[in-house]
Amino acid sequence: MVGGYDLTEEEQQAFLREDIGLLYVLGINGQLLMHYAAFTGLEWDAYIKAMRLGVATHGNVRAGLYVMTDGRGAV
Amino acid sequence: MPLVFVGAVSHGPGITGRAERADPKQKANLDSAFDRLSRELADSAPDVLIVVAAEHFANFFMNNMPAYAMGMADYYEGPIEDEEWLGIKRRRIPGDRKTSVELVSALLNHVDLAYSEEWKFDHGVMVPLHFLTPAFDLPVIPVNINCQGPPLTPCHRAYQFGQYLGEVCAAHPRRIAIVATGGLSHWPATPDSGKINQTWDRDFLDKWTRNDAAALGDYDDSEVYAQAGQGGFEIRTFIAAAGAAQDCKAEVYCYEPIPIFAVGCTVARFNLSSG
Ligand SMILES: [Fe+2]
Repeated sequence: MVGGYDLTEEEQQAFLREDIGLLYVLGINGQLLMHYAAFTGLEWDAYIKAMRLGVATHGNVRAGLYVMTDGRGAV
Repeated sequence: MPLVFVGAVSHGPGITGRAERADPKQKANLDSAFDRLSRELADSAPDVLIVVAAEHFANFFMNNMPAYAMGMADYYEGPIEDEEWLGIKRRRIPGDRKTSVELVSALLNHVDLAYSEEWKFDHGVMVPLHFLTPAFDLPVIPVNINCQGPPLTPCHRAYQFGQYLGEVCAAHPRRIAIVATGGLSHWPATPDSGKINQTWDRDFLDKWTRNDAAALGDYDDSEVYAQAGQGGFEIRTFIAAAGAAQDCKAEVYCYEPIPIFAVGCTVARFNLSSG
């Protein structure tokens, strides 16, 4: 299915592996990603943790709205 | 008929979806402010409630994103999200197609407003209704201001849109209430979720309660993003409410920064006889 979309290899793999952290870094809007994360079984805290791990592993967000978030949060 | 009510509230999905995780005192304070606003809304005896929202890609997406849109349906449905995730049961909410058509027609004299006969309410509308009209029996007309996918309508135009909205409502024979709903500073659904810039929020609320049109219209997105996050873009709905209330002043019933709700939870109302 993913082959039918205009995605890079990295984007395809992140989606197929349900790698929420990398998807966040690749620029997916959180208003959509939070629902996808819940769909994959991640509870709220695990979702936040996955994004923080994504930033720690892959660096700051590369595209989209979130390029300036510092990833430190408050909760 | 003059506008009968103009209020503004937060709509973070955590308010209902993660309700049990908030500090109980803060949550009780927020709940009682919602209760008060709900009673006052009922006391104003509206025929219809316009909810000025900032939806989150539920109906409008990057393939076709209107700056301003109004619902024009007999009824709506929500929440579009998972019921359990949001903590609100899915249901049908009555609309008022005739009034919608009349308002859209009137607004088109001033604003290139999009309209939609199909609209699924997301948390941005459902959370406010859950508290303000818990029986979901008051006919609702949704309005959306794009606050999610930049480029966004400038804040001075959001104020002007609110002025036009207020004027066409005042010229309409029905009793119309307006509730705007959006964040102040917040970074929802990101690793920064829970961060709240209270200083920025209180400064905004100071300008907003005084209905300082020039100051509200001056907010610039790069500054808002730096200080208040991408969720801060949703101040447009509050600004539109200020425009609808024209020269009137507002009172903040509650401002509770609740990190697990990801926003400084705000409940406020304009005093429509203060202008
Ligand atoms: Fe929102």
